[in-house]
Amino acid sequence: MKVAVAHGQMPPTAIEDIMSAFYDGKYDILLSTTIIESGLDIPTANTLIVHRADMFGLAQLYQLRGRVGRSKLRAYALFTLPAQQKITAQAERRLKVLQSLETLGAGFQLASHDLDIRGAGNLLGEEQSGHIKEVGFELYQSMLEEAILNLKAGVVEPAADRWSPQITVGMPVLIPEDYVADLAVRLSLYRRLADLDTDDEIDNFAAELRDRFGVLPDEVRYLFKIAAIKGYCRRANVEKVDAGPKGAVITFRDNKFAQPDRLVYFIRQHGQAARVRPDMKVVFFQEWETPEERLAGTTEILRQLANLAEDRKAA
Amino acid sequence: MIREALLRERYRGGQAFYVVPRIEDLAGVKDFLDKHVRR
Repeated sequence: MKVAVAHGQMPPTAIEDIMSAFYDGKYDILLSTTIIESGLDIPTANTLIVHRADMFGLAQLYQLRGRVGRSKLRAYALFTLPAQQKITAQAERRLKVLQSLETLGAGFQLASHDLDIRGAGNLLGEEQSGHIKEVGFELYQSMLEEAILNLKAGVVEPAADRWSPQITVGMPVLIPEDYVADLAVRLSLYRRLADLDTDDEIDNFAAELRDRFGVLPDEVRYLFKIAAIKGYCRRANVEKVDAGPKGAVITFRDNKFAQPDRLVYFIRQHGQAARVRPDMKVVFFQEWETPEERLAGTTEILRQLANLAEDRKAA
Repeated sequence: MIREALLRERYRGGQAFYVVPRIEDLAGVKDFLDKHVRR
């Protein structure tokens, strides 16, 4: 059999030549690194062999598997493992998940499984603690869930009444693995957390965690504070809060606030420390040196806004 | 088993992908292929 070899450190033109030669049927086997993960469909290639499948990520394996079986022909995908060494528990789990993903729409599930197995480490871990930009873990989770539910229900447009405010505070907010070891439990906690609304619910949930897992680590305490802020945001129709060392920028949903007069008054009360930007976002200038201050300050502003929106005295 | 899979694909006139995780793995697999599925 004729074997072509290709890998990512070859010049791109060389790879292209090999690929097109393979496409033209000049080779029987294309031996390569994951560079074939994406690219041209090759309808006549319907067998895939993955060497050391334990070394690949779940998304990669899934992607690779998708390279065959595009035409009417039955396709085969073989995943090989080392005969001698034992594979890691994570690798084993990845392969199990891959086996279980058979149905249509598996890609969606896959994304969440992949995140589950790897943990949110890269998304929200220490090394990125300053960069929780657009999507936090919790938000990601609920967006994903919403999308899946909508798809299952055949809804095309996302439901308007279910929205999740975005809070950016630039600090790690998560349930660390060393706090709750079991993955499934951790995920169910995230899920419940996303449903919390009132201060009471949040306090009760925090107490439950303390009971079950011990004293709350900082990341979890922050998580609860964010959950509380989110509750206020929903009441105040705030879509987005970006808080940094110099203050906070608040974006209202559709730029609307239930009690505009009160809002104007509230902002005026702050004097120089608050103003409305031309794009209708409200900026509060503060000196928030520590993350703790930032959280506390943001909480207070949003709490007052929520009360204003509901026509109560801002106290 | 790998050999069989590759031969089977070949018999029905198709092609196969063989993917390895690292560049260093290429040589070993190439040896294997040269030995076992050479015709």
